Amino acid sequence: MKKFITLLLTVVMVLLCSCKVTDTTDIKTSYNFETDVPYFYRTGDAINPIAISPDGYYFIGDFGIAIYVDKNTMKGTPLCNKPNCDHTDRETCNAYISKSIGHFIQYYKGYIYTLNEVYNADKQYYEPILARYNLDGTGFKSMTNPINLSEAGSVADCFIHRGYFYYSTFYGIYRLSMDNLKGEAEKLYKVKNKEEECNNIHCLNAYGNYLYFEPFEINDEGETEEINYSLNLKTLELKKLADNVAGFFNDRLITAKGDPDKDKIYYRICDLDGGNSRKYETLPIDDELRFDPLRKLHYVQINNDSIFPEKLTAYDSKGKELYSTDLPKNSEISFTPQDENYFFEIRTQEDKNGKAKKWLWYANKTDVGNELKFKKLCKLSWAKIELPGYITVG
Amino acid sequence: MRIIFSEIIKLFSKKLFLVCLVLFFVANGFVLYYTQQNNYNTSYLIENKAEYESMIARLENVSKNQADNYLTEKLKKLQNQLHKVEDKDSVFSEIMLLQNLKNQLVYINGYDSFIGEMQSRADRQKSFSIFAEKGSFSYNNLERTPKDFEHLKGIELKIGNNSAVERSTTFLLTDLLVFALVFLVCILLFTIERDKGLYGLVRSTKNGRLNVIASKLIVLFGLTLLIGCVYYASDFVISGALYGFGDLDRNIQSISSFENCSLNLTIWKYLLLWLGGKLLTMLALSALLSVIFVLIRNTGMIFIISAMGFVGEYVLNVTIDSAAVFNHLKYINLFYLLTGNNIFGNYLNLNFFSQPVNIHKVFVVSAVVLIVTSSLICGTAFVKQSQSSKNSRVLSAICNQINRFNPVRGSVSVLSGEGYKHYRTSLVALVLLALAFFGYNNLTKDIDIVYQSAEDSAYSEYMQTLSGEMNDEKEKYIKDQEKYFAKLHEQLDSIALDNSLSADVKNAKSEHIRNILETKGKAFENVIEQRDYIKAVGKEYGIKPVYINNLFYKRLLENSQREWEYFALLLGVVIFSTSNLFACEHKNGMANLICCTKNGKLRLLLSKYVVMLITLSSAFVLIYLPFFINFSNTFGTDSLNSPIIFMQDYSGINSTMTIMQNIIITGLIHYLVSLTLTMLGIMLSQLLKNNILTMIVASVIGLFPCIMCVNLDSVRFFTAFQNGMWQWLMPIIIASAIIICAVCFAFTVISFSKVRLRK
Repeated sequence: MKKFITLLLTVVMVLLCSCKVTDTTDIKTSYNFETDVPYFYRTGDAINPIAISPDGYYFIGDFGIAIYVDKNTMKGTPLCNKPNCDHTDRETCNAYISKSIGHFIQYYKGYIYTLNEVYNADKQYYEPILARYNLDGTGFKSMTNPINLSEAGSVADCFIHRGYFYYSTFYGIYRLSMDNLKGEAEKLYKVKNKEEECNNIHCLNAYGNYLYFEPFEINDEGETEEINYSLNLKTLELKKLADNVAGFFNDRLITAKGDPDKDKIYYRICDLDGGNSRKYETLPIDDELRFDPLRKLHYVQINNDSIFPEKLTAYDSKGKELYSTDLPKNSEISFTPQDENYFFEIRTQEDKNGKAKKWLWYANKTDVGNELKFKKLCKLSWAKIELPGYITVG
Repeated sequence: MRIIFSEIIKLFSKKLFLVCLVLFFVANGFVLYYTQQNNYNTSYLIENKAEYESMIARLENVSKNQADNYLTEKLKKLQNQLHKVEDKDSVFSEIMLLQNLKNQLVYINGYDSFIGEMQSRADRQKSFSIFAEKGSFSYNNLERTPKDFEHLKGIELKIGNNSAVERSTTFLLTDLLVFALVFLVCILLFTIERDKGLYGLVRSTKNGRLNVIASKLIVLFGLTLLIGCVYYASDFVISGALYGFGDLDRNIQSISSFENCSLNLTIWKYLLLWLGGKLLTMLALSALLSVIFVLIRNTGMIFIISAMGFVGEYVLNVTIDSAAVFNHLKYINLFYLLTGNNIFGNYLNLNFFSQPVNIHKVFVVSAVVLIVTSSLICGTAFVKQSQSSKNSRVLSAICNQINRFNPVRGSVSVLSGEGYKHYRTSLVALVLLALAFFGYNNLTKDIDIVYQSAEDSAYSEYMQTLSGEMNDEKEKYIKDQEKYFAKLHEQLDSIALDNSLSADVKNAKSEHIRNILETKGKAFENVIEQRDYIKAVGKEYGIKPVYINNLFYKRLLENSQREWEYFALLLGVVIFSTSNLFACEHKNGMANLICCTKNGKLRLLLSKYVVMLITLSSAFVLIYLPFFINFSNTFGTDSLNSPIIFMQDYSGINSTMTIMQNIIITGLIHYLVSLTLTMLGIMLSQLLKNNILTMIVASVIGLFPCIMCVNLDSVRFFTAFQNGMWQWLMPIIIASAIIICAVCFAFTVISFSKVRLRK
């Protein structure tokens, strides 16, 4: 009998062990849709409130409302399953899933994640929590404990990448394992000599097994220094990068450095840790290079006055111009993140009553000839009235 | 039937019940009248009732277009007049009345499309893949909702006087008072006989068990219905008298707050349904209370469990997100169901196995199930269980274990005997133990400041340098900072003009400087403002200007939530502790024994007061002191001796009292008010001779006004200091407290001295 039980237990243990799914995503370098942060939506210091799921896109609109855009129809609707709802009451409307100022939203393994807030009466402060929702905006679940910000100021930026929730505060970068989100956060980096009581960590992004960021620190001479770092997420090895991070292309890192004397900006391509750097492209200093995540194309956004972009031109990797579009002059265009299929941007326009309204626009990159055409996608404000206490997008 | 009548006679023979019935009714009516009269948003409708109704009458017989044109033109005309006429108030009132009607008209004009387009909105939403999965809750909800509103297509909505309906259906105090009366009825029906040991007699008679409990439940339910009907109807009558009743034959959807009501009802039918909903909720509550009263035989424990249930329901209602998986606990919740028109006036589907089930169906089913099951459990428990009073078994077991090592030494001291009764028998020791945990938590919890903005953080950093008396060194520091910010502005200009920088670098650099200006820069502006203020105050009062970190000390002195919570907790403890002080003597017939002993009355009376004062003082210290110690440890005590007038919020205090003195005065006032309630509680305990009755009456007198003030941030002691009211308010409070204390003490002494042997 004992032998039988021992044998049975052994079989059960073997079966149980074989049930463990090995997550192999950390071995691959290439972008993995299910597990990686969509690095291509993170342009420079901008946290674009956009998430991509298998069937559509999620945007955070005005006052924190989530808008779903179906990939098949490219039409948008508030993430609310109530046809009797006018999307004015945050308490009852399902679409108000983001309740933090950063308006973070990301798809990860079948769910939508946002940053919410809970009130800490002792500290008289709203503390952020990572919130999870089903794809239709239902099934809210609080995933983390309120993030302790005693020495941190506030969560400045965050994302989920390869099994970890990363967040930066004014003075440091931390991560929590997605398997143990209620556990202790692991500190990855701390600003050594903070300059001011404001966000000192910029341009947080991740690609493959590397995290990139740019802390503003005071050097020995007492001057503010902007250093670019890459952090190996497996070995936690920190490396200084010679230039700014400009993007990723073909599983490699593109860096940029401007030369004001020559009015040029030099792009270099290197390994993801910054090694094996070589010359890649040289452009006029006012132009910005943006990369298509999948195709061997790159896009140049021409800026005549550094505030309002005026022209968007697509080149292939050999520098041949494919198509371009003139952007409306002096328009407030908030961001132009792109993925393999679309450009997105927010334009502010006046409605019939002369009120400024924000609209989401998009351009399909796959059905263009010589010109890139932007079309209206949907409005960003759905509430009948202006809701108090929340910032608007753009 | 005879038993039912007997139960009713027993209830109505209790003077307290009749007094509460009338007192609560009058209080409810008065508060409703007073709050409506003083509500800025609605008082203009009361003052101009006749004009408002004549306007409505004028618009009733014209088309919507004509009404719209009339209102638009009239409004335009009056707005032009407003600047020219002398009697602005009357024109302004007329504008408000017209605007009210205009808003109603806009809503009514939009209602047809709201209903008419619901199906197309649902179809459009179903075309999105996330909502299109058949069988999912979202899909089913999109299918169901348009069908539920289908029958409302084409209903005729009319403008009218809606205020009476809106106000009477959303008045919270009535719910609280009806609940308190239901609780009182439960006490009178279930505990009085048990406490007097009459169940032994009653239950041994022929119809002593099932018939008795059935009669008690019938009386409880009957009275709940009666009280509910009278109280809720009185709300409507009072609101109607104030605002006018309006046309009750219109559809309920004519009122904009009922846009999401899916029932095709006229207003008066809706009001009946709403009343039915309230009564059903109260019946379910009374059924649940009857179970608690029958199953739990320790009267103190009944109060604790009921209070915990009440608080638990509130926490669930407030903390659960509307999109949470288990949002059922938020919506099938006492607070949700009792609030306003949530049951029948709103449209909400809950997810039951992906099927949308409307809240009013869920409500009716769960209320009926609760009433039936609770009645059955109550009946069975009453028949099967012994109904004699018992102390907590757990507590008794613990005490017995302790007593094994601490044998009785034969003390006959009245004080120690009172202490034993008070702390052990009346469970006050448990309450103090819980307060000790509360105090420990307050002492050790992290209250270190987390800045709501970088501006606040920068301000605090400035205050680290500047805090304390103003001197030349600090003045120089401020001048240096002024130079620093001027330099930053120069840098910003030079970056904008520098063509050698790339757009990215330009943006990053200028963004960084702008960040500094918007955070540290604004904080510095606050510092400058503070400097100018303290200089002016120093000059006015002839004292040396002092910088105080406003962020830190606002946290200590101006937290309206903490002030309310701590004071409400203290009152709760006082009410619980005083309730059984004399009641225990009367319930067990000990009063008969005591009154015949030498010094039995006065010494006992004084001992009770001493014990209660010890409890009050201990509770006060455990509630207030730990936070103060924690604050001092965290933020230091540097500014405690600085005059509070140097905080800008206290500019109206008209005194140079220090922060510490302010804390002591506020503390003393809190203590005095709680002492007054203690004296009142002791008196009630002696007069009412029943601990739960005392708790109810003391709660209504002390705790209910406190609950009414929970959201009124301006009704706090610190605001009296800020606006200078303290100079006349504090003497009034002190004088009133002394008089009430003296009267209560005199009443208690007289009443207790009259205790005589029962014949």
